[in-house]
Amino acid sequence: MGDSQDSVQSEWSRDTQKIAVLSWISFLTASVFSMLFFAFVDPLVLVEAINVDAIDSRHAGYAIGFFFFWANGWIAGWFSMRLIRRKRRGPAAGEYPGIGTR
Amino acid sequence: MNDDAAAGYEYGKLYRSEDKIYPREVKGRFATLRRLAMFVLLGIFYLGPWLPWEGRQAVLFDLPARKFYIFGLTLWPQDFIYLALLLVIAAIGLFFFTALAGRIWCGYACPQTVWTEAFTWIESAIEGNRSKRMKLDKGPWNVEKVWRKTAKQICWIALALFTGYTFVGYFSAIVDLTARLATFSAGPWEVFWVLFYGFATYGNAGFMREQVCKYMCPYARFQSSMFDNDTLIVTYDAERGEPRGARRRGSDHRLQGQGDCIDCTMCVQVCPTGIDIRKGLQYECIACAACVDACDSVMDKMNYPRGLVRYSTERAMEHKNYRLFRPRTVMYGAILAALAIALVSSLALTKPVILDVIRDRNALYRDVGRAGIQNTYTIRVVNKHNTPHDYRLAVSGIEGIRLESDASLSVAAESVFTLPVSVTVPHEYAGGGHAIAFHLESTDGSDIRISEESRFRGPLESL
Repeated sequence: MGDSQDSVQSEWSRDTQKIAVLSWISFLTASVFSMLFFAFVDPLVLVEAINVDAIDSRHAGYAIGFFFFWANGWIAGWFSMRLIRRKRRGPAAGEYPGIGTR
Repeated sequence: MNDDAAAGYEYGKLYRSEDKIYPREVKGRFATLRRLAMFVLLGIFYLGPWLPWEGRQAVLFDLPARKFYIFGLTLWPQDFIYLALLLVIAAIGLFFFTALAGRIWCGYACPQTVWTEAFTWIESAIEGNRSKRMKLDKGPWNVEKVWRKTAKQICWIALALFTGYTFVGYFSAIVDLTARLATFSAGPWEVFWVLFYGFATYGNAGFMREQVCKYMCPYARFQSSMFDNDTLIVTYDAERGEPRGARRRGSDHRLQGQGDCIDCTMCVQVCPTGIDIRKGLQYECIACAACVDACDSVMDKMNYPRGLVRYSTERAMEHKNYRLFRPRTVMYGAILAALAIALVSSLALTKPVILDVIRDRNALYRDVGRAGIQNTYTIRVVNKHNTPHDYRLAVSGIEGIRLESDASLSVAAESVFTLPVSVTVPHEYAGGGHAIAFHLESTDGSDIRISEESRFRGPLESL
């Protein structure tokens, strides 16, 4: 964060907007889903079942679960954004008669 | 309003949406209200974990122990339905208040707004008002700029870290957490979440601010679907204000065919999202009413009546009557009331002791010779009381049914007791499937009696 940005906000580029929206929405859904998930599943029981020794406390279980959900939402959102993106150049469908309106 | 209105014109072009936004400070009724809301809400947040209740933290979401304490209430993982219900109530409540009062949440109560308010307060305390800040940013890195910027960053980071620490304090008892942090013996995940939440606070409130509302907040995008023509919005009275234009003070602008708007652009300069409210309702508007305060003070100076920019409704703008009871508010209100009643009544009826019976799925049944047919179960007794209890377990449902293991058990306070038990039924009665019931009865005089049904399976009789 440079000095000029500390108190100044500029309009965000499309890419910044995309990353910000992706991160925030996936963060919110991850919060809700980790709450739902861990309400029913005790991370320690789950860890015992899948034999991962690295997760040795509930704290670690919750955190890793949360970041798992977050990454999952982020990746799904990112791919969705990529796949439904429209081409920028050329006339849009229906803009001129006979183009893309078949 | 400050007296540097002229400086505002100097930077007049800054409000164009492509340019950077330096919101001008504003004083007025709504700014006072917003600051008051900030102090109250932040006060609740920062003091909340320190509140004691019967020897423990009043509000503690004890994640390591998987128990939530909210004053006198203890919630267990299986009580999650209440939490879900509470979240649904919060969401419907947001819909309800949005339909009534527009984005009142955004303007006064949203954490994003509240912490942004706190961070900008620090900023203007250290770096001065809008024009001073702009001058400072443009100027060279002299001693004054370095110390002001450094002081601001230190204050911001301190507040952010304190926020993160308080946040974690809601999840692991804050007194112990403080002791652990002070002696550098806190767990790695606690430290991580303090830093993570601190960083998020710093980023959201110090750096991104209203961009979060403009681009990232999902509520901002769909709140318009909860609006109707009677929803309270911040609006510019175009009928009264137009045609806008500069004029000499004291001249009769009506005579010259002018409206009340003097086109001073104060409403634009104070806007934290950089919009021009005079263009009508826009999705960027977070209803902070900064423009209302700004315009009111200009109107006061001009000796015009206040309220050229004001809280109003679309229908009021069309000189129609305000309707409080309309399908939208009645529906949201009814759903909200029903859910609230459901929550309160189910909380009141919640059972302090739960008996779960899980049938062993590995073995259908076991032939134990003369004694009969045996099934095994896992009994789980959840004691939510804060006192221990002694129980006697019994089973019924089939002639001659009996428990193989010791029938008396004691469960400690606020704990789960798990016990594998075998149930035997004589051969002559054991064939096929039967409904049975386990009964738990307290033997310590506390008058707890609960039953739980299960199935008993024996060999299928020959067809």
